[in-house]
Amino acid sequence: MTSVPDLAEPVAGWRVWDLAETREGPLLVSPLRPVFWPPRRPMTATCSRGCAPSPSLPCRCGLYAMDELPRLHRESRGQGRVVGCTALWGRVVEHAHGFRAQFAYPLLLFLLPAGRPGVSQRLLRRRPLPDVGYGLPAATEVSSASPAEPARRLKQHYGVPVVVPSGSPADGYFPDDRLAGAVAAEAVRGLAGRREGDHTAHARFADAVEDLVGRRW
Amino acid sequence: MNIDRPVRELLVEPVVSPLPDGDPAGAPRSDGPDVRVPGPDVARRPDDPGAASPARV
Ligand SMILES: [Zn+2]
Repeated sequence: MTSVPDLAEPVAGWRVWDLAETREGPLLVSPLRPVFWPPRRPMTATCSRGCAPSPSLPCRCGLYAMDELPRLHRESRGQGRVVGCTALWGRVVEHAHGFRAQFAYPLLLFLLPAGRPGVSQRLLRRRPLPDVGYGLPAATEVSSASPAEPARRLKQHYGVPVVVPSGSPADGYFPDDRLAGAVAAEAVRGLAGRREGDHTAHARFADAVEDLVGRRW
Repeated sequence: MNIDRPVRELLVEPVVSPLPDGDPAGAPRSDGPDVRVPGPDVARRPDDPGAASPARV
């Protein structure tokens, strides 16, 4: 192990979230703990063991994402209402099958149908979502049967494409692997392009999503 | 989420925001890092002691 991290190209991974409804809009919530990902700001890792910055290689802290969607599908076991590809940056610990990152923000979200397990009400009761200035009321699970309206509001709140995949109960409504992988690859290319000062990269990513998914998000 | 064993540490440049450009809702807030101008020193920013402290999120 080297003590000097490598500089790396853009990194993106796959993960799931629960979805909580608040007065300010829908929030992505970690399925592991009642911690929400803030809209339009980077999610930042912290560590209860004091890693600064988090994550560190020997610890288990950080923002988790898997390297491949099929692996996430197998691992998530029906957990989460939202599946997404997220950009990862800052300090990143690469694992054999995924990443732990210091900063993250979603690039693309797939909203799965209601009826799947939502945010854990037991966890929320035990430890309310932290108030970071949104004046959050007690969060509740987004339970609307039709995904169109929650998808629209999720897109508006986080400013990223939100797609309702046309999956089936048999596959957990997960998005198609090849389609999702192609979108993620385009997202990473877009990040690289924007890093190089290409201000049209975001628009190209939006176009690519539309081309690949077959509809305007 | 089982991501298996750690392999290596990377430092991924925080040069570009993943957020859409030109969105006023992405303006800086007083209670968190600025999305638009993370800057090259973002990897050295100390943790926010007021934030939640997940071991893994
Ligand atoms: Zn740690």
